[in-house]
Amino acid sequence: MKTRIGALGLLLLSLALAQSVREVGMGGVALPGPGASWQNPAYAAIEPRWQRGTWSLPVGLLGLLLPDRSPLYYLADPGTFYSSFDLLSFYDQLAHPGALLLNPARSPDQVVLKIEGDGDGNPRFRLEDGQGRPLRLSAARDLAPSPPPGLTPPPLLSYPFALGRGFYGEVGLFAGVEGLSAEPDPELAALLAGGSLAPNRTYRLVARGAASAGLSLGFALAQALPPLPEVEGTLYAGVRGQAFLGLARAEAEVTTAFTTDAGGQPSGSTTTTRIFTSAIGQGLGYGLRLDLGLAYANKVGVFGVGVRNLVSYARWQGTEEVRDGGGTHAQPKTETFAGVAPALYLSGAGDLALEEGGRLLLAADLGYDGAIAAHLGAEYPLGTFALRAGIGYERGLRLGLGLGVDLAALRLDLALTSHTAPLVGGQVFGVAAAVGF
Amino acid sequence: MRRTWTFLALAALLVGCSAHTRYAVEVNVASLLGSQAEDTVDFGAPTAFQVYLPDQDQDYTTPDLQGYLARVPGRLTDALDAVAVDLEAAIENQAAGDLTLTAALYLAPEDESNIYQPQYKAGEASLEPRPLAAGASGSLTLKLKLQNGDPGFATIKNGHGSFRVGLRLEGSGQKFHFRLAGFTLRLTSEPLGRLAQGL
Repeated sequence: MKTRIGALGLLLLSLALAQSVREVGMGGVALPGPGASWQNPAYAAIEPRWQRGTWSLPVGLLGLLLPDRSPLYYLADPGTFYSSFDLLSFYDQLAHPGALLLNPARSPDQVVLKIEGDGDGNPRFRLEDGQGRPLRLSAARDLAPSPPPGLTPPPLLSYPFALGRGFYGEVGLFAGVEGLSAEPDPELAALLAGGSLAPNRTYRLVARGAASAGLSLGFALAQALPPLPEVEGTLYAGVRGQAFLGLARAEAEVTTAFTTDAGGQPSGSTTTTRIFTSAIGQGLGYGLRLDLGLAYANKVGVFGVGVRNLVSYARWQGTEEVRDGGGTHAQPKTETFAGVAPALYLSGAGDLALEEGGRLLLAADLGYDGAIAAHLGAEYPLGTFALRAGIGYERGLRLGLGLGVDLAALRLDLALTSHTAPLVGGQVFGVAAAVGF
Repeated sequence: MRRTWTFLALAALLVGCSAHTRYAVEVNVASLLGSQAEDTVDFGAPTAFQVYLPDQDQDYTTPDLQGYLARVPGRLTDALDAVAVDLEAAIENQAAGDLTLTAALYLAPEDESNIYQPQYKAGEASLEPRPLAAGASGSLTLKLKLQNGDPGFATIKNGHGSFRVGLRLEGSGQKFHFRLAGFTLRLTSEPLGRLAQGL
């Protein structure tokens, strides 16, 4: 039981990927440089051009105190909890700890299952909200995408260090979700979208989730390559071996299914739950992977391509518990992956001189680590201020607006960000802040 | 079938897992009755009559007293808060004399063989205008909101997703045409809200 509680805590604590407020204000684009060496090891050797030196404030934690997204009200004020708390808002805020969400995703006030005849008296089904709009369970299939096997989540905390002669090291603590979804199979999706029960058919709803945490240790060699003839600028290459020691891992999969007989009537249903847990002391997780990167830097900007997890080996030993109609069965299990499952990352940024004077920072990235993500952002310095804007796609549209302030004793970054609300769609807006001294 | 409803109820709960979310099952009874939702009733001569809907063979001289067996997600009806009935019928008097008609709604348990008993009567409404002149068309509207303590409410709440529903048309006349333009039952519940309140 302690293992399961720990696994749940792990899941809740690790839903986010930290990003600077400057980048948030630029639509979520990652600026090339040592700060992005996790995605591209070649960036470790590049002089930092766009290092801001501010620290993000965890304003999202303030959001978790509000009645609509704080489960604490269940203990402190059950009446408020009953009237206000929304599990989807809680999840949305938890998944975006760097921003105080102004209008977090909210469950529909009504869920309506409509049952009507198909003209011959056979029932058809539709799932709608209170306004007659269809609710699609399939929208939950990519709450968090599954990364390529063997690829550990990004570090929450890391300590990079240089070893000289182009060698770099990094010790880190990682924790993250490795997939969270609830998905009806096509037959069930069609049934709930106004379909009728078909004979000899199986309808399934599968919910999956996985999360892991551990310590990582990486050693990288990143260096400038010899100058190429007639090519201005410098080419950099990086290679990194990244090992991890797992502290905990949890996987859960719940499959609910029912079948119909030859007459189209339900003949049976099953629910199968599979839970795999591994925690240090009750199991062991370890692995090794190889990352490669290339980068090019000139007077204008920096561009690079990184391939993480080019080859990897990962092994988790733990216990698998399966519950189905026949009871509960637990047995030791070892999950092993060895092979090629790369995650790609392309990025670039440059300072463009404007005709009327001044400079414009433009940045873009494109990545795939189980799902495609892309961002485009810009920053325009204006005296002591910097204006920022950007757009991105991360399983939905993301927008960003930002403001930077450079005073004598204080640097301040503010960002207005948005993302697509999970499950219900629509745009969620939030504010983020960072300070530096 | 009950397993199907349980499964669908679980699917619905996945979508809106919050205390404020209300769940509703809306059963379009008129569409489920198919061809029985519209018919012409001809007694051959003016008479006092009773017509029971649905009637499987649509021979109204041999009434079907079991009504329509409705099945909805039992897990949601267990936390039932209210039942709304919305019935609209268009009636055309096709006889030479007047037509008077009253419709009564009955809700009864699944295992009841005669649902048209007084204890199962949930509400009634009369055809307007009253009487309906020869060759004229009228309408019949029945709107009910049943809550705890109202007749029929406990039948649905305690039926774990299964109950019988039927209409009895009673009046005097010779020949008329009826069409159920709308006949819906809307069952609303707030299962997570009740859970939150109860804990």
